[in-house]
Order: sequence, then C-alpha cells, then structure tokens
Amino acid sequence: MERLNMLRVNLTEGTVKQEPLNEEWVKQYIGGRGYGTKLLYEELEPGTDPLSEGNKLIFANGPLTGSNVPTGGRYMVVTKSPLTGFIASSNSGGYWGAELARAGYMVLVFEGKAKKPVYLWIKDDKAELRDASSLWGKDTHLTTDALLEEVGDPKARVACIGPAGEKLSKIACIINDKHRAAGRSGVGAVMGSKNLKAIVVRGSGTFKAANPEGLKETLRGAMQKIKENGVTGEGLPTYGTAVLVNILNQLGSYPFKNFQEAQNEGAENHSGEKLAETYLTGRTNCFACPIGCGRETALDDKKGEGPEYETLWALGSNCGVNDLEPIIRANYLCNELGLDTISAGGTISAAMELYEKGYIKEEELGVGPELRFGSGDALVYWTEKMGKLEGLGEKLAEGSYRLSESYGHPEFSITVKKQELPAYDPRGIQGIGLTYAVSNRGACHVRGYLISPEVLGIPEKLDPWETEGKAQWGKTFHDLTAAIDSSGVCLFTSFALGADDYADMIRNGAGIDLNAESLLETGDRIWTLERLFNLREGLDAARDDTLPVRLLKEPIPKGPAEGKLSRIDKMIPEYYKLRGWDEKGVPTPAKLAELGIK
Amino acid sequence: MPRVSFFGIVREIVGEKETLISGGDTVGSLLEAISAKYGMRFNEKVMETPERKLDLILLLNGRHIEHIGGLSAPVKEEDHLAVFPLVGGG
Repeated sequence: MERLNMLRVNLTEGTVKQEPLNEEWVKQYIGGRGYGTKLLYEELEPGTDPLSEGNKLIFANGPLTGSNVPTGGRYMVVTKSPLTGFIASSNSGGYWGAELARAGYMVLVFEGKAKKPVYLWIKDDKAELRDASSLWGKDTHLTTDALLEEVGDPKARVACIGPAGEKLSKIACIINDKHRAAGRSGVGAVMGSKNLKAIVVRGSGTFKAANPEGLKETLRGAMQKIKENGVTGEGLPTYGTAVLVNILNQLGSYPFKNFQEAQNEGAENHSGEKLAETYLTGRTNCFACPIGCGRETALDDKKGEGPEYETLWALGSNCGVNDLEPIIRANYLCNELGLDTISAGGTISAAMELYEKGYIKEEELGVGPELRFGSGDALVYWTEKMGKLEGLGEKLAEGSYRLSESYGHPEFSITVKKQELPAYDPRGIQGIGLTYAVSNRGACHVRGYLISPEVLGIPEKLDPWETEGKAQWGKTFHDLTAAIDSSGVCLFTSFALGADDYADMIRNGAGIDLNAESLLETGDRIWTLERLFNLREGLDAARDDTLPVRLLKEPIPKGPAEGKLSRIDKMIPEYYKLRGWDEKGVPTPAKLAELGIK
Repeated sequence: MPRVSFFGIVREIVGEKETLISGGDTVGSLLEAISAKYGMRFNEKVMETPERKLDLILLLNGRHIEHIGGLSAPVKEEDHLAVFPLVGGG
C-alpha cells in the first residue's frame, strides 16, 4: 500500500528533505517505537553525547496514528537519552501526531544543531524552518499560543519545549497540545540542545486503510470490547487514572517520602475521589479516543489538565504532600516549564531526604522554603526553580541520581538506569519490579504494566507477593506493549483488547501481514533491538538491570506489605533465558537469527 | 465489628466512605450484609449475578481476597474490607 513519508531535517544546514519510508523496516518494526528504534540503531554513531549535534531526535507515528482506530493518535519520540545514556522512547497522545499523519508524514528525524532557535512549520507537503528567537525562554503555553497566531491557523497543532528543555534539564519533556507530554528520559533536553523550540503542523489528508471493509469489521468488535470492559468502558472514563491512589495505598504499596515507607495515612486527601469532589471541572479525550481518561482541573487563578495518577503520587505522596492544591500547581508548572512530572517528583523527594538528613545545607536554599517532606510550599517553589534552572534548581534539573551523587549519596536516588521510579512499590508488587529493572529506557511502568494482573486482576489475578511465573508475564507484556507502542494506538486499550485484535487492526489498517503470534514476535524484535542499542552504548546488566538498594535491602516498614523486599534476583535469570539472552543479558546469535536481526 | 470502606463509584452508590457492619464472618456474607444495608442500588451495581461477573476489587486488610480464599475468606471483628470498583490506569 501507499505509505506516508519521512522528513529529514538537518538543523546545521537548515535543510528539510522528504524521503520514503523503508518498507522492509515497516514490515519488521511497524512504526512508532519500533521504526524509530531501528532508524536510531542504524544511523546513530555509537558513543554519541546525547546533547551534542551528533544525536538524532526522531518523532515517529505508528501507521495507525491519525486513523479511526480507537485511540489512534499516539506518537513516539526516540533518541539517545541524556538522563540514562540509553534508548529513550517517550510516547504522547493529544492531537499533534494525528495532524502530522494528515500532513502526510509518519516520521520526522532531526539532525545537527541550528545556529539560533528555530521551529519547523509543516503544512502538508510544505515544510520550512523558521526563526524562533522571540519564543526562546517562553513557557509551553505562551509558545503554543504565539505560534498558532504566527502561522495564522488556530487548527494547527504544536509540540514544543519550555525553559527546562532549552536549558538542557535532563528531565525535560516535550509538550504537545499544551497538556500532553512525551515525558520521560529527558527528550526535551535533546530538542533544546538542537535549538529546536517547536514543531507546528497542519495537514489536510485523510487516513487510507489497506483493507477498508476488513478494518470496519475489526473496529466494530474492538469498539464493543472497549465499551463493555469494566476499565475502559467505565473505570477510566468516570475517574481517570487518579482512582488508583486509594487502591495502591490500601495495598500498602504506594510509596511515601521517597520510598522510605509504602503507605500514606493522608493519601485520601489527594485521591481521585477527592479530586472529583474538589478541583475537577471536566473530562478530555485525545484523538479518536472513546475512553477519555484526561481530567480538566481549575485552581482559583489557573486552569489546566491533570494531575494523573503518576503525578499525584510523584509530586504528592512521594514528597509527603497530601494537599491537592500545591500538587495541582506543581503539575501545571511542570507542563508549562516542560518537566517530566515523575522525574520532577522523584528528584524533589530525593532532595527532601538529602536536606532532612543534613546533606543539602540550609544556605544552599537561598530565600527558598526548607526542603521538608510534606511542605506544599517547598514542592511548588522548587518545581519552579528546577524548571527554570535557577539557584539550587540547576542541580535539581539534573535528576535525582546526579543530584544525590553530587552529595555523595546516590542511594537516595530511587532510579533504574538513572531514571526515577513510577508509583508502584516493587517490594509489595514483585512483577512490576522486574519490569522496572530490565526496562530498556530505565524505570518505567508502561513497558510492561504488570499492575494489570498483579493488582487489578486483568486478564487474571496474580499474587503481587509471588515471583513465580512473573518472568514469563513480564516478557509477554513487554513484547505486546512494544508492538502496541509501534502501532500508534494507546496502551490503555490493552485492558480490553488482545494481541489478535491489534494484529487485525494493523493488518487491515496498515497492510502489514501480522497475526497474534507474529505481532508478539515483532514486539520481541523491537525489545531486542533496544537492548542491542543499549549494549552498544555500554550497558552492563549487573550494574544496570537492577533496582535501587533501598528496595532490595530495606523492608517495607509497616502496612499490609510490611517486611517485604523486592526479589528481582529470583526473576531476572529466568527472564533473560525466556528472551534467549545469555546470563549477562546479551542476546545470543541464535536468538538474533530467529528474529531476523542482522 | 468489621470496618468497610468504599471507593470510587461504590462510594457514590452507598453514599458514605466507611461503615461498621456486623453479620458477616466471611467476605461473602459480609458483602450480603452490606447489600442488605444499602439495598437495591448496591445490589444491582456491584453484586454478582448469573449474567454479570463481579466487577469489584476487594481487599481484606490490604490483601486481594483472591489470594486468601476468595468470598470464603474468614473475616474477624477487627478486620478491614476495602471495596473498589474495577478501575485501571497507569
């Protein structure tokens, strides 16, 4: 079938070139995360400094982005991460990716570095670099408004960075449509290092399915499943993700105060139920999404979207803050300044522990409030300083690992591969700990969301305290997720849909010949190529595929999971074996041959 | 008496966050006691029927009931049951 195109933008030379996609790569890696990884693997010089001109910044839609497949609006940012030094692939929804597809492109690749700030303006087959000097220093909301006015089209879509990305914070994100983030692994800093402020896009094309009748039939079934499923049909639309706060807290696996504890007596005060009673003003949907998990909120002086579950936890419980007002305010600041909320919260919580234990000195705070757990004032103030890289905020903007290490105590950084952990305590939920430890992009809950079987009971209930069988579950979830992330569809659909549904959608929508089995094999291929990228960049399994020492040596002090430690040592060897990797986590030649990786 | 907490849509159905309920020495009989107290709305929405699977997450003292005997799990006087609708997220 006829494919969309790729744009190659050389910022050093100021050139924009259209190229066809590599059809063989589409067959082997689909698009999005998979195609982006293949492109980076083939083109990036090993050992490249992530913030140098040599790094490449890839925006990759899936072949279903911009289609009428439910939730088909996702794009992925793939690059070498300045936070982890390994592969970054950060996913986002909203409307930007779908607009890029309408303009005729599946992939954008940025190379080099512009001499002065620029933005890329794409209108269908016309694409040009324009001066963005007047926007440099502006937050993501002001930037978006100014660009929509400048291009004279309110229906255009903007992805941009804020001051955090411009100033190369290693936890900076890319924000599209003002409120959606390609959040993790510091992708915003790579954009900033290239002097690329924004990408504005407007398209007029429409999606063309490979097999329109087949797709129609497939979508009828998929929509029915999404509607009838308890999570996608009722739970997420009604409460968004925030309703998880109380569940995880009741389980005693809701990290509190930088993972020093795992249950928070005040969690109800920042729960989804509380949010619904207080600051919630409405729901939002991303492109083509029948679920609508997004939340609109308002404070007295500001409006915005979120906070989502991860943000409520990272900026809330993990910093000991239970009041919603400062959490929402800090969330808005992260979106405006362009910071990843999970890493921002994980960094402030580490700073609070460093301060309370006497390593960060009072004189370093300047006029700022004391970095004490539970202080909403400190949360808001230091989030702003971090996003603007002012005063001590400059150190915070490096992320918790480099911050804690600079004080001689890296153990207070709760990270995997230097990336901050999400909102589930791996001591009380064993499988998710495995998926954090071996995740190719550093600690991450959306590579293999084992919370689904371990906590929610989907597709079946697994005991979160047990390790047996989790390696196989982890591998299957990793593979399926890699394929979904490459298709352009939102991971949330997987509460209702299975591998066969995705294979049908990709086959009928994009003309890639897949069934359930070959879809999972494609996921395996993508995961393995990410691994090869990381190994080439110096990954050492013993050092990098592990969890912070606190989670291996300090038992949960109280609550239902009291006494528990993570036992990743029982799961990782089996996981490697199932993957066809040797005991050092290196894919064997036989496995590479099986996957067709040369 | 066992303490029962309600969350999400279940909280809206029963109209309160928490209650003390007697009359149940297993999770199953405790659910029946809750059902009797809150009547048809609770019944229709959250009780298992032949047509509809039980769409609840039930934690007894922070453990999912699936791992401690399901609806037959014994309930003691000082126990705490948390009743959640089936939800998800990430």
